[in-house]
Amino acid sequence: MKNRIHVFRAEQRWTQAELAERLNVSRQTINAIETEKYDPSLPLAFSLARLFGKPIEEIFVFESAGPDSAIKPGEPS
Amino acid sequence: MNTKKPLTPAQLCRRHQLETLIAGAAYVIVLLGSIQLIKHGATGWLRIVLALSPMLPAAFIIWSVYRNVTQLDELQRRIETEAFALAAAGTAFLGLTYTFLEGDTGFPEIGSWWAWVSVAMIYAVARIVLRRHYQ
Repeated sequence: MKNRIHVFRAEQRWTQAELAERLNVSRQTINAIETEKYDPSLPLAFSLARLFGKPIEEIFVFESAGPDSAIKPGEPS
Repeated sequence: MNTKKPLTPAQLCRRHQLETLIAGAAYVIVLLGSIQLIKHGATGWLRIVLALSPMLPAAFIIWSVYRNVTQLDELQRRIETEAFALAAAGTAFLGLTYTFLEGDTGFPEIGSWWAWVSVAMIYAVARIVLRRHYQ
């Protein structure tokens, strides 16, 4: 899952360690999320969105496996 | 409502190290005491209780490990859980492998102490590899 955390973090002029402290997680966790090696849980993703004051879909972009697997709006899943 | 501020990952790690140190020291003290009392003629149930008494401080380590793992942040918890899982599975695999060697090829029987060494070594290596993977 792609994300724009490093962009929003840079806007706030926070280091990874400062962001980690605000979310009460380790700096390694922030780094792993930013480098897209680890996808955060929903509660942590919502905490990030709340901290940056952005909608969650503006921070995280889900990449589907292909055009056939994408769920279109209004289409039953 | 619980308003207590959660500990940071670094504080959790320090607390766990301190608790392990205290439990380890208590284990050694109780072990030495129980050996002396058994040597001086404790018999019957008292002997059994004394022989098992060092396990009480050792059990405290289990509680400390569990409490600290459950309070880690989600990525750290994943790393610890995966490392423990690999250590447990790897130790079971090694144990079964050696059982075949004991039965069929005449390798000497060894006590269960090796399981401690195996779990600790696999856990340590797995933890290093997993931490690097998520860096």
